[in-house]
Amino acid sequence: MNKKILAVLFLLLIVVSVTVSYRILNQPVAQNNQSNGLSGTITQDDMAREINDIFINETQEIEIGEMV
Amino acid sequence: MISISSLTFAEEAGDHPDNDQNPHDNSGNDNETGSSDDNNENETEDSVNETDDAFENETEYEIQIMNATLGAEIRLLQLEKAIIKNILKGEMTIAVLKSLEFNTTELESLLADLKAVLEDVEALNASANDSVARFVALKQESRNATKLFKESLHALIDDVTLREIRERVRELVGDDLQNYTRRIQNRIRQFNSNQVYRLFGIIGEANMSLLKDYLNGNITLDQLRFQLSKTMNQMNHERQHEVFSELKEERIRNKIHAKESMDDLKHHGKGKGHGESP
Repeated sequence: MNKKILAVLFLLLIVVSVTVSYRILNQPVAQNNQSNGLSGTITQDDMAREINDIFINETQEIEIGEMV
Repeated sequence: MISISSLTFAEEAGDHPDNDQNPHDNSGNDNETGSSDDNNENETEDSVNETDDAFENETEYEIQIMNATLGAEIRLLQLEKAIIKNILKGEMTIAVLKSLEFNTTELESLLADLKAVLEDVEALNASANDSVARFVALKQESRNATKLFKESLHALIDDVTLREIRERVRELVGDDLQNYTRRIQNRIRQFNSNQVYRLFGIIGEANMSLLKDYLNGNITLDQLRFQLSKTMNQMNHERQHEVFSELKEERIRNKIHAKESMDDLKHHGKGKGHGESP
């Protein structure tokens, strides 16, 4: 009887360990809307900045100096 | 494929070319032995170098979009507008000075130089091979003519008259340039729409109603940016990474191309032509 209880407890311990390990390993990828690529982390700000840079501001002007 | 870390490093190096070039950094050391005249000369020289560097950086940024004909058209129109603005200010200044019975012969001659530059800009074909080199040269010429006009004016009149003229000129010029402002804005909208279309190609999905709304002026550029950022954030992380890398690679490629063009112009007097790839 004791052996059966020990076996169940042991199995329970293994299941809990596997679940906790899985959660820990997968957590950083989903956190803070960031992606961990092979060579860097991209935040929402990085992406927004990159999108901003493909456009020209509609009110942008060329400066050649003041006459007066 | 260029890695993100190397791209980031390249960008950081490129974005801050003047971080270690503060013109006032050496003033403490120089003051100990030099006369005040020497110091003033050094400061003026530093200030001129700083302005020249800023001018070069601005121009380098401006020519980044000139590989495409539409980009070249936008820059030429913007230069045209800047020159016309200064010509109008110059004409008004001369009219005021004439009414005060000043001799304006020199100023008129300098204004004629600026008008000649304007004619060259108007005649320049945006899709010509040498449009980038000509743009840089004409921008420099217009800047020089403007500077000379300002220096001659300052030598001719006192500060009070100068302030009065400045006020009058500021009030009047805006309305005359509305037509240019609208034309430039329309072309920039077209350019930005092309960029969005290209971005849709990279993402692999297209929201044409968003594009149409921007082109028709129903939404602003900020609203367009916001919607695009939202779309990107809904993508999975691997896809985000791919799109981000592609955008960044292209931006850095354009930056390097523009820098090479500027270096060529500085050293050999000719830049990489319109439409050439690095």
